[in-house]
Amino acid sequence: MKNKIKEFTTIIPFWNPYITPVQLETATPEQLDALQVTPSNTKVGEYVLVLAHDPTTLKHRTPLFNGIMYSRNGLSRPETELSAVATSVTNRCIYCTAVHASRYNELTKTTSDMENILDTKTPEKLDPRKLAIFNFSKKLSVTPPTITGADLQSLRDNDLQIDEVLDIILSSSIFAWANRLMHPLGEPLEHNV
Amino acid sequence: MEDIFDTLVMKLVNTQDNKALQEAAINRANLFNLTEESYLAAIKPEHVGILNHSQRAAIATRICILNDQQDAADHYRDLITTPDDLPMSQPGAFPETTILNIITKHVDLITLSPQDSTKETIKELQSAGLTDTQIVEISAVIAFVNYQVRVIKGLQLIASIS
Repeated sequence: MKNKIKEFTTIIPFWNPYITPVQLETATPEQLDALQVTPSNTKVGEYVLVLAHDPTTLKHRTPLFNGIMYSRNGLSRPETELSAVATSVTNRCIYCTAVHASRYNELTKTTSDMENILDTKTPEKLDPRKLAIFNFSKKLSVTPPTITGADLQSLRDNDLQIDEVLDIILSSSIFAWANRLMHPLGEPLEHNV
Repeated sequence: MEDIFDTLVMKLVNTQDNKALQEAAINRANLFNLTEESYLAAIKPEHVGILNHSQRAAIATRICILNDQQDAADHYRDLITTPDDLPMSQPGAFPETTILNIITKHVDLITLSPQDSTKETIKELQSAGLTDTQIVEISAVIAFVNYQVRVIKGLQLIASIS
């Protein structure tokens, strides 16, 4: 039996759904369309197969998520991941945090920022620009959000332009969405050794 | 593709005096259009499933109020067409119908403290008679509105200051 992961990690867990995923063999044409399944692309993850129970929302969610995370120009890729991690940590989504913390480490070829956030819980050790992004994303993530003009000013004081601030808002917000599916609908488990 | 300033999010943000924000939004037009498509899919789907349009609007109203976002709450409240759905829209109030009562409590949990949701939470929904498909439909509405309301909040902050 695989153990449930209860602490933050940068090792991507196995995601075990609480909901039975849609089976590709019995999926409706609308589900297959939302899953973007083609004859050459039949490898679909369990998470997306769970979301395929509601193909109407899934159809637009996937390109929106990819557009926010991988668009060119605007906020850098690592900073987009940092915002995603800040939100996922706030919502304690261990799976999302692991995926995006590990991606941040790959992109930056560092581990110290994620250690400060995940291991030692000392995000204040981040450099001022990263800390401003982290704090803004975190404050946008709580319910109700607590972002203020001072938080926006902190981003601007660290040379973040309006287009970059917009991307921070989009990245943090899309994880307000993703965390509310990934965490409630399944659990992060250790891989078999 | 539609004019992004006709999308719901941009209608609720006054960008008139903020050229930088307008330009930034135009550069991300595809994302605002996909956000609008997602809004229509979550709130006004052709196939309604477990929640009709009025009930979806009521849930969205509740989430916007919990997130202290009055403009979006006002928009969604106008879409509630059945008076019986009003309790679902008001934090602190709960519908009398058992299944809607359970769904409304789930809306509060996932909006306010998603981290507190567990395997038992889903089991309880299943025990109440909800199918896996219905649980995902409900989850999709809650998760989307929690995204949308934050985009609105963030953009309104930029528009109000810079």
